Amino acid sequence: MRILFPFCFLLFTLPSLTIQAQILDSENKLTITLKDQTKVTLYGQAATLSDEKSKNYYYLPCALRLSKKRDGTPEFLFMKFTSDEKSATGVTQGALLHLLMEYGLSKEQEVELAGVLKSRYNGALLKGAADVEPDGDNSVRIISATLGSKDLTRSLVFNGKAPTLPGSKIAIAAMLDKQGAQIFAATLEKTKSIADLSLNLSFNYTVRVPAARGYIKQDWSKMDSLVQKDSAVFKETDDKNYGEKVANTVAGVLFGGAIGGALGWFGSGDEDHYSYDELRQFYRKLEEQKVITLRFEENVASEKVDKIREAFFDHFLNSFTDKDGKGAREPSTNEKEAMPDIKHGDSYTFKREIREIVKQKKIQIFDLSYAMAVKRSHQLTENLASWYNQTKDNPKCVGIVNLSDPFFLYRDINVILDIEAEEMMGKEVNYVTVNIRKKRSGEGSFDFQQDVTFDRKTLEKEGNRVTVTYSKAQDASPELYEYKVQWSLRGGLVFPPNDTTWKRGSWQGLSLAPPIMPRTIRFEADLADMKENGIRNVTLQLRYKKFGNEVETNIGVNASGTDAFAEKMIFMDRNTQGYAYRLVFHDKDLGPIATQWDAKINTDYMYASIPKEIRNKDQNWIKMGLDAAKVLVAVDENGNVSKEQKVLDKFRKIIDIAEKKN
Amino acid sequence: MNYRVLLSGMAILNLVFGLTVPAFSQAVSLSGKLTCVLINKEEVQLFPAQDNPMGFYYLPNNLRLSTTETLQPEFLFMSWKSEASAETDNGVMHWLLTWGLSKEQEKEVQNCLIAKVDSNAIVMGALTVEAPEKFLLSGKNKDLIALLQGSLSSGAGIPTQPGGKSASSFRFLGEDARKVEQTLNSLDKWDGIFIEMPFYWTDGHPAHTLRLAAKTIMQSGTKCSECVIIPK
Repeated sequence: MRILFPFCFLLFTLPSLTIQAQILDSENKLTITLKDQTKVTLYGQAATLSDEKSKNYYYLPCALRLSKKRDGTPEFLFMKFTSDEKSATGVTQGALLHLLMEYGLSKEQEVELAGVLKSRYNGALLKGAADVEPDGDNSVRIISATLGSKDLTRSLVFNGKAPTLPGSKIAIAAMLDKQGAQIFAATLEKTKSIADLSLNLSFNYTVRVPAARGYIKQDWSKMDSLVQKDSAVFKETDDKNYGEKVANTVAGVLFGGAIGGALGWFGSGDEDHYSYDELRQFYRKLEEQKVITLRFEENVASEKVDKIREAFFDHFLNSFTDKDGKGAREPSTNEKEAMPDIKHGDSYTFKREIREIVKQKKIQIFDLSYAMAVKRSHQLTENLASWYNQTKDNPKCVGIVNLSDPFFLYRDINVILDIEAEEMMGKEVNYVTVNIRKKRSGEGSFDFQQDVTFDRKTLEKEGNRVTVTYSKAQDASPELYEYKVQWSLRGGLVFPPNDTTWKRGSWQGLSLAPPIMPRTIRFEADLADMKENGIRNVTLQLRYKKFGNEVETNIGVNASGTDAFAEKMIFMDRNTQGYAYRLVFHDKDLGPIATQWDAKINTDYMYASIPKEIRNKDQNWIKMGLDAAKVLVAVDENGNVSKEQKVLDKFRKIIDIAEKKN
Repeated sequence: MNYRVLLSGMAILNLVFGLTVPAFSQAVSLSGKLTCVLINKEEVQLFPAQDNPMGFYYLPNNLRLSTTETLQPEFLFMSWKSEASAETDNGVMHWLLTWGLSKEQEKEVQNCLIAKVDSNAIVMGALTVEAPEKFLLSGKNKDLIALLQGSLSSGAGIPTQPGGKSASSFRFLGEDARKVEQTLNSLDKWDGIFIEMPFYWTDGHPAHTLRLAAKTIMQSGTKCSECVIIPK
């Protein structure tokens, strides 16, 4: 076990000494300031199993800077963006920040540093960058109140680990919102000092440090004086005074010849066999007499030095004694502590070699000094402004963009229900549906189509406005769209009755006016005048177009009544501006006398003026009137005027509004 | 025999130290300490290397606001308000601190060594030290200290190599922004507040603490018109 243990240690120790290609010496450190005030910290290469100072130096990460493309353009982008379109979330305004950084000396700095090393430090050589490792997964840190605030910055992404090789790049990207962009841009543009963005890289590097200095010295020349002294007090000892026994034995047996005679080192009798406790006492005696000296310098707890002493006692036993197998007794307390698995007490005899060592008065020194590899931290911090100033006049790096690319724009069509239609909803109109279509010319594109329906419920719930939105992408004329409208009317009618052709939409939007419009016709008569002329009732007969058909409405005033005024709402086609009318006077003796059909435009008021022919009893005229009044009811069950009785064709030029062509 | 002694020696070390990795200091002679005073009155403490009495290492020194290549202080205070506001809404502050000798100061120290030690004496660089994660704020004006601590948005650690920088960014909201704004017109309010950077030997024992008066930072910052932006 004792022999194997050192080999195990060797196996664990050697790899750690050989795998490290670059080992830095903590005791060989330089700091050099270059002309541009860049401070460079260098470590010398550690010499293997030696404290000698190497002249080969490696530098720690320094000179953090913006990286550049091959053409010299800094790899930096600060792009403020806005849009012609308003956005409730404000996502169309802000700024994009993207930059790539690297560290390490430039060629010029390396040349300068190598020159300083060579001239100032006796021919020292610059070998390159020191091996470093990132200080954890968060070894890149962004220091910025603006970018660190979620209120001002929508997103921030960057490499978590600092790169370990000079020239490797670190990417940082941020999307700032509108306010964050303004604040950040202000710190860049309004100052020449610094920006609200500093970057910090944290590294670890490994150096070899002198961990401890110490030695164990065995000075066998001091045995002489010890033996001489002990010989003077040589005496029989009791069994418990082990140290005296061994010392006396060594004095008497080992040195009996020279001092007392070289008598049998392996002489017979129990005096040649020693227990574990006897040897411990003997070892302590040797320490007291400075034959064995332990010296160890280190800021460590004292129990570690005690362990060294224990370990060296093991070494002493292993080197100078053999177990003779004559134990067969209960192990002592000390033995149990040193060898927990011991079952029987051991018995030891001195090896033959010790006589030569002691006789030759050898001095043996065990060097306990050793070095260890420890990790040290190193940080690199710089502010953005120093790099930004190099780039702010470079349009490749800093810019403003208005997000007006039609590809990303939308076309909003406001569909508004006309006020007249609102009034008619639930009365003359059940609902209206508008179908909007956007045909796209781009290859592989899809057409857009959407329906919107207004009825009384949606009108109450959502109002009279609906917005239909389509993308302007993939089309040569993104503003153009088409539509068609269908109205559902009282009585189960639809207008237009068939799905008609698509109409081109206007850029303003769509106003859904019903095809018919309400008009309130006010009709008045002079009751006294009617009575005086024998007229019992007068009726205003109106003919007008509704959904393209000629329809009739009658409004009457009775002379026996009290109201000389009557009114009625009619719904006539929007593309007409007037109506045909006639008056039917009901003579108390002759019956109904109808006037000729005439036309009226742009007025909703009619007065029942009794014709002078009736007042004058013009028989010819009255006869024509009586004839005309023979057919007073000319509508069928659907309210349409029979073909034979239609009159509007005669007034088409007056009543119809020429249809505008879009 | 020699081989066995070597192995046994290794075994001893393994027994003693096992897997523990104690921290160790750079080997310098503490008794050889000497002090050089720079033109700016800054004291620089140097120690000779244990195995090279002519090679001197200095303790961290000269804590200051760092400067740009054009010698502008690396300091920014910016506050802002909306058009509708009568007073400042919010603000940010950002600074970078550094320590160590400039190239000129290194020459001063080099000349000091030649005068005090020997013509062969040479400045080797800074001592290897460790530092905590963040600097400390100390002083009597507890309100202002609490305001700074509460507003610190992010900050980098204390640099352990000369010329390294420590960046800090603060975000002041509402009343805090207005308070700091006021202090820039009345720098005495910063009296007695210090930025402290404690450094430790690599075995964990205190080595040296650098202190910088916050008022000095603010004075440097406010002298630079391009470092302070306050809405009118």
